[in-house]
Amino acid sequence: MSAEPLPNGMQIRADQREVQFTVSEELYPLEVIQGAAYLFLDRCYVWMDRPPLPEGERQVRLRLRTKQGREAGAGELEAMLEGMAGEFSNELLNQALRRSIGQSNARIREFIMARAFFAADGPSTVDRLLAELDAEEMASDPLEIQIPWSQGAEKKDA
Amino acid sequence: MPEQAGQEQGGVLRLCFQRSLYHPEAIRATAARFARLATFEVEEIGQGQDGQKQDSQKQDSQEIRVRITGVPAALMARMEDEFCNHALFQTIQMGRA
Repeated sequence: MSAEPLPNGMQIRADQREVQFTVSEELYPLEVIQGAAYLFLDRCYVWMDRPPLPEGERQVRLRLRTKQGREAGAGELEAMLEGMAGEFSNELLNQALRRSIGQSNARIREFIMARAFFAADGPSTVDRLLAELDAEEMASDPLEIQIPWSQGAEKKDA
Repeated sequence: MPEQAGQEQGGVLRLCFQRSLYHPEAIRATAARFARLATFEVEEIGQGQDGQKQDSQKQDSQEIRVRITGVPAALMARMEDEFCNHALFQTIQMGRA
């Protein structure tokens, strides 16, 4: 193993089957960090807290404890944990991109939805059904309201 | 982190969540979900007045403490991990709702 310090304050503790690292909220909003964490909940136990920092700086410290690798050796586990932290970092980028695309497409999405709901061609099926019932009702004239009174009187005389 | 936050003290487990990262309702919902397994006490520390919107810096100093007692010995090691995962899951779900 190299003696270089790991990025983002990463600490691998194979005996605990866990890896810890920090993520800056200046780079990734909390929503993005949570989005990435959500995808790892089935593979590992995720813990979040904030390391003590000077005022104004905001970071989230993450601890990922793998659910697998109970039988694995220390070296193998270390590689697995480092890989998991790398995958998490990739997922952060993925989530950030999704968020950015979502934000830039928000207006066009709203427009398409509004058009689908409110700008359908012709009357709705309910309106069409009501119009049909109205027409049927008008066609039947049990009280003979549509017959002129003079014709009605002639009928009675006959 | 777990070393500071979750310590086994004679069968008692203590967890500490930061208010700016975990939703108090999510913690309560998680405690209710796990209630069959142990006894949970949830306490909010440094809580503001009801209905008062607080900035994120202020929320950082606020904590939600959970005291878990009566944990079966067989579950002691996993209880903390499972509780934290479920609390995070609930927090994210509530944030998206």
